[in-house]
Amino acid sequence: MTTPLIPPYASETKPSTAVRVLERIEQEAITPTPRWQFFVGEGILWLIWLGTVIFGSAALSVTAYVALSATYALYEATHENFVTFLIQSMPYLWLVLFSLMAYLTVFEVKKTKRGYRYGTFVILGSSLACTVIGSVLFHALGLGYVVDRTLGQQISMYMSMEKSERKMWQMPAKGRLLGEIHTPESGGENEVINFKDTTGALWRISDGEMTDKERTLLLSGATVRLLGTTTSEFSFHVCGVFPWLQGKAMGRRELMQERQEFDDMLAAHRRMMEGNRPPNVPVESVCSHLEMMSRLQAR
Amino acid sequence: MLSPEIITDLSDEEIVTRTLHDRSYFEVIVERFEEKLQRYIRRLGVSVHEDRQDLLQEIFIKVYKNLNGFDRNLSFSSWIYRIAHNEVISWYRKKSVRPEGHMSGDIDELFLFIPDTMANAEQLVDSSIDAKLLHQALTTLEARYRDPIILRFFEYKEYDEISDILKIPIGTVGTLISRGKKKLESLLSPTKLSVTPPS
Repeated sequence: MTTPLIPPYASETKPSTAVRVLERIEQEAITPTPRWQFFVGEGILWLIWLGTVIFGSAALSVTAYVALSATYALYEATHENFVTFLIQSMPYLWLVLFSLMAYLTVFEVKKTKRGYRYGTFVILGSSLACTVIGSVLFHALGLGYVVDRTLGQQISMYMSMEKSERKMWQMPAKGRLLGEIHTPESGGENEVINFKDTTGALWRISDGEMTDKERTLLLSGATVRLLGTTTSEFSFHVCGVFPWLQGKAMGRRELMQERQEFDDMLAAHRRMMEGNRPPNVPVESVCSHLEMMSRLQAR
Repeated sequence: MLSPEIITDLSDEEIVTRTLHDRSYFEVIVERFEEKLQRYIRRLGVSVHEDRQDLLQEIFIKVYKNLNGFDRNLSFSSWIYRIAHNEVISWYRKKSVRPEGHMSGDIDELFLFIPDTMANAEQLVDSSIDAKLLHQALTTLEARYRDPIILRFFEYKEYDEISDILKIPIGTVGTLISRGKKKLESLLSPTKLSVTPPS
């Protein structure tokens, strides 16, 4: 060690602060913390920030997937109005997680070396911009769908979009059934269609008010959604047949297509009610008396 | 070690660089900032001399330990004031005491802080009671307002330096100072004193 610049004040009863500080440094063998530790500390903060942005992007992409995949096309059939549909369809868990991530990004950036220089809204705005860009990318890659579906499969308590839609469409008392054709059987003049729902129950289907397109879809054996009403125990009068689109990420085009198909179905049913009725359709329509059909016709 | 004449001309940042290679240069840092920090921690309310001495020693030890973490984008002065400020806050927390305030040696600054009209200034000069009132009001003020006011009006720091010391955005510094002054005016309203920044 070199000679101190300021000599100890030997004559004074109390040594100067500089002397006391240097003595303590020497006695306790204090050394400056290595530079790399500061880099690592700062790096960890930015890594946490990156993690929160990535997680926030994932949360937002799941939110987008859920929002876009909700059966918007058929909301009149499943809900009283658009508001109740919106309230029930909101992915609250993901919105909460997304908000939490947004808060954490601000918290982390504020703790970085120069984070304090920026206002909360500047940090929040720039972090949100990064999150939105990330979520658009994730959504384009179908990550929202993958995350939602995987969590639904792995965690029984997690209500994935698919689980939620299955639950909503498996409600015979409310005129909704989900499943597939079991076996068409010969029943005299008319063929009798047996339909197996997702609980395994077998339903006898009255198909008098189905359009040809709907009948073709039902008989194809694909999983379908039925709109209608129960006429007696395990008998279901069908007013509409729709493909089951869950199990894949839907884009805007597919959503629009689904909505268009639904409109076409309504138009076909309306034509039938107005006298352009095929010979097998009963004069007294069952479907026209259903409340949900009234809501749909009023669209 | 360089000669004292040359050392005098070296900037704080250059001294830091040298200290990292030769710790004896740390004496220069201590000598340069001892008085300023001593005053600052007294203004922050540490009234007992021995407490201030202990705190000062802890501050310099912390500065030495963290020399490698000194952000060269800041002035060294802002950085060392920040450490001092944080140490004082920690000290209060450990001791579970409130700042007592000890600004009696700052009468000149207190006056500079106040004069709005000659009448007021004259009254103040005539009466140390008014300075006492202002001193009391300052110690009553919430820390978030008092800290920037002390740095601005008693330590003569610029807004960007206050921002670096207190780790708050520059805009917030202005807001806190402005609100702090209003709060002070309200605290001093019976005395009809108005608060103006130093010229």
